[in-house]
Amino acid sequence: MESTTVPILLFVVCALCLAVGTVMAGRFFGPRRSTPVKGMPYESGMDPVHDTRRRFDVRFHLVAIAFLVFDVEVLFLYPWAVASKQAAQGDPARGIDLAVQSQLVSSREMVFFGAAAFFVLLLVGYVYDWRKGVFRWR
Amino acid sequence: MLELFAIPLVKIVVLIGALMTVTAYLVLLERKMAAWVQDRRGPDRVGVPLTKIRLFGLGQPLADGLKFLFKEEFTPRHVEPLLYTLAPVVTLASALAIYAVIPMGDTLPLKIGASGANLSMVVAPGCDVGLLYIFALSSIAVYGVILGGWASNDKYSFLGGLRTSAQMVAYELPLGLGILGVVLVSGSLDLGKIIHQQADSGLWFAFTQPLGLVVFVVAAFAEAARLPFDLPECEQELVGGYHTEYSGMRLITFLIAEFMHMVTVSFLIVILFFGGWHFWGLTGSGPVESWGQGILRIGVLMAKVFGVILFFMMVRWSWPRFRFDQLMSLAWKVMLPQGLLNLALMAVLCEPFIAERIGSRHWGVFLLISWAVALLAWLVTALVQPSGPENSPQRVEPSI
Amino acid sequence: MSWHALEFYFLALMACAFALAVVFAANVVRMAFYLILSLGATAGLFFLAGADFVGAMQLMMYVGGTLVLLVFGVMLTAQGPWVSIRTSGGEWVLAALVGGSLLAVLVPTAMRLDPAPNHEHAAVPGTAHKSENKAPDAKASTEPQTTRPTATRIGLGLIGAPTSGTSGYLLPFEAISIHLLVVLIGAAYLARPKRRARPKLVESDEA
Repeated sequence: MESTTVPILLFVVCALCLAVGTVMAGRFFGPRRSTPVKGMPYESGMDPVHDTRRRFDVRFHLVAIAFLVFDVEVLFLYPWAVASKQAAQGDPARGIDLAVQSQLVSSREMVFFGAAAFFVLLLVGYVYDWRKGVFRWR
Repeated sequence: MLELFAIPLVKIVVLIGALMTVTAYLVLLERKMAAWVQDRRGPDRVGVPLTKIRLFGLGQPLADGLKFLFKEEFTPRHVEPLLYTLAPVVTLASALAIYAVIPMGDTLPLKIGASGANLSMVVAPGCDVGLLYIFALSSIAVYGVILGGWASNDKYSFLGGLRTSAQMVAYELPLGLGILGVVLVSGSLDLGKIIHQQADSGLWFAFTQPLGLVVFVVAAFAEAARLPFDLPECEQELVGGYHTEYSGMRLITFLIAEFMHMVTVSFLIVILFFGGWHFWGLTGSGPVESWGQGILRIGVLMAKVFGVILFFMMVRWSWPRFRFDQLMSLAWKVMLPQGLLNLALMAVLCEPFIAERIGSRHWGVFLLISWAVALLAWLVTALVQPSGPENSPQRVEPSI
Repeated sequence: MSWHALEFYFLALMACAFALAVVFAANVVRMAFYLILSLGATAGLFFLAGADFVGAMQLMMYVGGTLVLLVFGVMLTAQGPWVSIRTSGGEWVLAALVGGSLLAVLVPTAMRLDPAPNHEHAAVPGTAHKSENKAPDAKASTEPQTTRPTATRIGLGLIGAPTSGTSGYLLPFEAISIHLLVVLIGAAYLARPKRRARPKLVESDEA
């Protein structure tokens, strides 16, 4: 376990250092001449009208909601996908097969239909949303 | 202590150094390819400094880097200073940290430390959730873009950031579904194990899961914001997208991170679908036995990744950009159902009690069924065009 | 002090510090950024406790999903130039009440945890997966168990492998899908067409 956590943490720290270093490096070189025009927002040469922070379309929010729902679904399917792999012949049983062998689960069929029910329920929601126009970008 | 810190640290330094250099030269390659496609010469002047040796423009990346370094780095007055500075840091760090779990080959028979195991070509070998870790970091990258766009307080940046986040978020699903099929068949989230699975069977997942491959590659293009889907920064509409207000080193940080995303997804495509370091009759499949074999495996992996990167670059100069509504309906109405179909298909074909009945335990039957379903799905998509009609310009009779 | 404990204290401190920063910041987007760091540190704690899968899930769902939603929500309703929140006294009381009651639930749970999960439990699939879902305390995290991939264990738990005390989590698993279905229906409600008639898409040539 030490063998994965430490390298990952080290890597994250190194990546952060490099990124901070890159961003900071610009500070020490290069000229600094600030003019009023440079401080203005870039608007293709026009003088800016209105403020940037305005309300935007609810569609973006919808995309995020729909994403979150399906993301959670996919995430819940990952453990099942990892466990449902059958071990090659000769290897000791693992995952669901091991659970079946040690009589923790009654049968593979039950597990399969359990996952299928989960999947189908989400599919119903997907079709409903499609019909209701959630995915239509108008 | 040596095994815990020194080895990973050496690996990290070598890897990050190599990545930065390679990224710089890949940018040059991309410019050269652009020139080749557009029938011009491309950058060919910069060679060895202070001499007249040109070296086909190989000095260009160095010159570009220096130019960025000596550019003025100003912070416009209307930005949110803290987040404005942090956004590029978040983006680059998350783009880099992904490489902690990406294998650069298999192993080398170099025995260091007490364990006596081969030197692994991954910084964090045996990470059980490598794929999820990659996913998690790529979702943090989305955040860097939102922050950058928002903190810039500029309309172009804001729109660019908004678009990017919606796009990346929407395409993360097809990406995950494409991977889920692979996970289901291989039973592991560890990239090294997934490669070994493909090497053992000799059947790359690209052959057994054509549907998943296409979904994954399209989603990868969108996640990396490469040309058919480079809406976040489409120059004609948004100037530069979320990094319009950035300059100097902060700008190049964004650019490097973006380019690195492309390299990352190229690695993922090769590792998940094209057998990683495996090639029939060349690399073998078991553990590494000799130096030659170890190096060959690294070479094969790199060659494949290079091929995928070339593909990315060719696509860039061959396809027009999607419109935003087309992009969204492609994600939700084409890629998502196809990804779900791929997942369901793999679940059914691998489930023993079903496989026994339809005979999909045999690889021939497996291939036949998965390709038949894939072709059918593509045909249906082409005929029905779920993303098509309601997005095409509608004809309204002119009322006089 | 071992490296493990050091890492634990570092991450725990980071999580707490940024959680406080969230509470005391006034700018909403900055708040969201501190929340990312806090949640990221929590994910690091999960990794440290050997619960790789839960850690990765934490990052993906909260940082990748929920926070994007949150920021979109904030920007959606934003009016002024800088989105800021000023909390009134009543809100402080209410927040302290809710947070305090959650703490009252969590602390006894953490104290009741087996301080050193032994490896015999981990040998049987599905027995040890739940203990890692709890808040990891320093003692538990010094003896992590990686005898088998955590994702497999969680998967077995979800699809009905009964654990020592319970009868598996198949029912909650299906309940989650119904819950998600409800959310999708809610999304459809948000996406319903607006009441007013939509303007024509293409203007006539004369216009």
